[in-house]
Amino acid sequence: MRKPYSLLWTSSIALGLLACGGERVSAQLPGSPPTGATHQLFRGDMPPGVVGGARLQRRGAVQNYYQPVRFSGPDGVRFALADGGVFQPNSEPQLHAGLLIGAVYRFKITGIPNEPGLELFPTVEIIDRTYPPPGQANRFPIPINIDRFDLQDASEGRMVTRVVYLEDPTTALPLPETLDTARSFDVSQQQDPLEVADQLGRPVAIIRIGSLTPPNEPSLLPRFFFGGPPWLLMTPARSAAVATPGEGAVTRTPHIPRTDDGTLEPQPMYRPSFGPQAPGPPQIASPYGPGYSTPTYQR
Amino acid sequence: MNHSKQAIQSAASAAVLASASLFVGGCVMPQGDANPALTVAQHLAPENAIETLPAPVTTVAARPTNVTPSPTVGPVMATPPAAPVQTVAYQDEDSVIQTADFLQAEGATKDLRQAARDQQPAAATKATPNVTPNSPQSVRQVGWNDPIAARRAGFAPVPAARHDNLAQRHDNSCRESSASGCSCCSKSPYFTSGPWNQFGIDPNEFLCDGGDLGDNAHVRQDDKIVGIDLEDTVVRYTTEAGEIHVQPSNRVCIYAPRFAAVRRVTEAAAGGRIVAAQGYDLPEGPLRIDINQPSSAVSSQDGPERQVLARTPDAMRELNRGVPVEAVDQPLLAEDVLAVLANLTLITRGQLTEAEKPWLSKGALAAETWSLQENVAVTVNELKPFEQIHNAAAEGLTVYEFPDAGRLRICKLADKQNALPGEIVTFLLRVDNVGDSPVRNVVLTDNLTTRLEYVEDSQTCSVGAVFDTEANVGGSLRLSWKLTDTLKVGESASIRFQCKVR
Repeated sequence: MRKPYSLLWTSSIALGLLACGGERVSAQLPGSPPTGATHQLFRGDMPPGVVGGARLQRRGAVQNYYQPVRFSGPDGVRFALADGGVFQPNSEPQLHAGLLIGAVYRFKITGIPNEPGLELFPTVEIIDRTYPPPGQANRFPIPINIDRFDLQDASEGRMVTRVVYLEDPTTALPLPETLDTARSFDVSQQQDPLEVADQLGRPVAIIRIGSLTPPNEPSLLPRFFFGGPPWLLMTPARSAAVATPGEGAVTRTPHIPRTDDGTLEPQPMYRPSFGPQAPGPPQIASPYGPGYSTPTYQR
Repeated sequence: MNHSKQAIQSAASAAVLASASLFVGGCVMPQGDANPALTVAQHLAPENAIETLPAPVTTVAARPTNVTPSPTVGPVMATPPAAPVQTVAYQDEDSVIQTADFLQAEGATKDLRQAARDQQPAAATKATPNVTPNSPQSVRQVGWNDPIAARRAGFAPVPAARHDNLAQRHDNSCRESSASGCSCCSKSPYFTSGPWNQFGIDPNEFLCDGGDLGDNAHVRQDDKIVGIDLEDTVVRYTTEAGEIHVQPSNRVCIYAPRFAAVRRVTEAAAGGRIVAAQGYDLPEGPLRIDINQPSSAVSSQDGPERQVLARTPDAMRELNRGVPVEAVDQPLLAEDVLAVLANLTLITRGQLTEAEKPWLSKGALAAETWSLQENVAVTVNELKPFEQIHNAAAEGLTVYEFPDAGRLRICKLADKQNALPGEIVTFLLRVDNVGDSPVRNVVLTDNLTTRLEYVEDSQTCSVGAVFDTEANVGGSLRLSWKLTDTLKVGESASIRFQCKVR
């Protein structure tokens, strides 16, 4: 009677499993980036949601994380996100929102300068997250900056694809910037913006601006809104960069003694008082030394 | 013949099954240093924890250092503070600083496990538990407290078994420390750099300054310091014996991500059609223009008449991938409180006290060089050991040579842990002579990274120095302070300067 498996076959299976098991344990370290000709699996002109969906399935858990994002544009432009198929009535010039990773959001742009009544409906797809320190996520949003050339191109019927990426600090450009001036540069039609962004840093979001308008047929609305994924409205965080000159970090951490912050008022000049005078402000003994006034929050 | 063949066949199938189970084990259950004692104790500890130990915070005061430091740990990091440390936990934009709270919670956890093992109810006044060097507690402290070990680990993931231990220990400490108000828990199986972020960190989001990453700073024959790359901060000095040393500082990282965008415009090719808005109406309601209704846009179908395409040369595409940041130090950050750091005795008097070690462990660590002497020596309080050299003379004369040790310690701190583009960060550099003889020709050099822009005229130096700037390859400046006087034993120089984050 012939045996179903030959001896050689069985021993080779055993060796193969042993080798496989050994390899699996050692393959936990990250590999180096590939060199030479590579074929990119994901391109910037794929339909919205493909790149984000792929990110959800690999390289670390990013589900259920609302990535803070800040929409900003030229003067007068207002942004609104949709909730349940209806765009929010109170649009904002700088919209802070928390968007899920891998989801596609449709938002509305109104108030375009020199084009009254024009509304554009771009999409934003968040494909990666940042890792801010605990509690500081609101202060470091991803800037979704739309400039007037995007609005102009989109209203003329072209499609603009913007891939926002996290810059590598070792190859950053030595130009000063703020949150509102997220710089962008153009690539030609033959180049893939996602690939270029991947070479320069880590792509985190893809924005596609076209001239598509909401469909009149209600059954097509869920597809227009890509399923209407949830989002969080966030309030912009206070940051020292936008603090008024008289108010510094000392007003936020008053219990920490500081002696060199520069916001202490100078000691009042000694004026001998003769006769009755109106009582001045109560002299409260300050634990941080004389001359330190309690902080006043002015906004 | 058939019997032997059968035996071999069954042995081979047994081998297949064994290797299959090994394969499954290798893939599902990671092989690592799973400590069975720890597992048992963890099962016991959480249940007993809440009931037996009423106030974990108060037990720290009586506990001396009970963790044997491993040889890889620098002197400042291994020992938790002996004296009770005042915990500072304040809400700054919802961030909670965990300094001694976490350390106290760790100590509490150790006490609980010992209590669980000994099955004694009151663990509060127990004597020092014996913690062996192999116990996971000491490994854990090395894992996140010690920046040297983390620097070696870099950003590589740790084997999963250690992750589980870390996660479970963090869980226990979280259960304990939630009673004391600490929220430092990280439950992630991924690489965690302590209580920084429970999902890990991305080194590209940090701006770092300090240290000597390439480890190539040296002084040439013409007295020029070379090998200072971007982000390096070194001090060079000449000892009395004429030796020239170059000492890098510690590394300080600030969370300051910056974003840019790549834009591509796609148009219709010849023969296609595009839909563009031609005009728009705002719908009118009975009283006013209803701005909540979408405006109806009249769209027209246009097509290009002819196609004018500039074919850009494809062969000119240059793959200029950014330098992958692999071996990045664990970010060593200082508090948001430059004044507190400036008031540390390390900065004011150059003394390193036990009570300030957690502040420094959270902040910067002074990079100290250790050299292995050929004789076994014991170092007491950072004094260098005496070498005993025997002179083989007939009378048995013994000559003691004190080594010529003029040594500088350089410590760098920043007043901010995170910064938006446009904010100003103040850096503080302190150089001490902790050796035995004065040093001269002290030159401090700080090569700023591209995204840090030196604010004009913002530098101060506590001793006389010649300050100079020169442009560097990164588009920023290279600052150098050349001290005019010698630094005698115990003397120090404090330098402050401000940088704007681009």
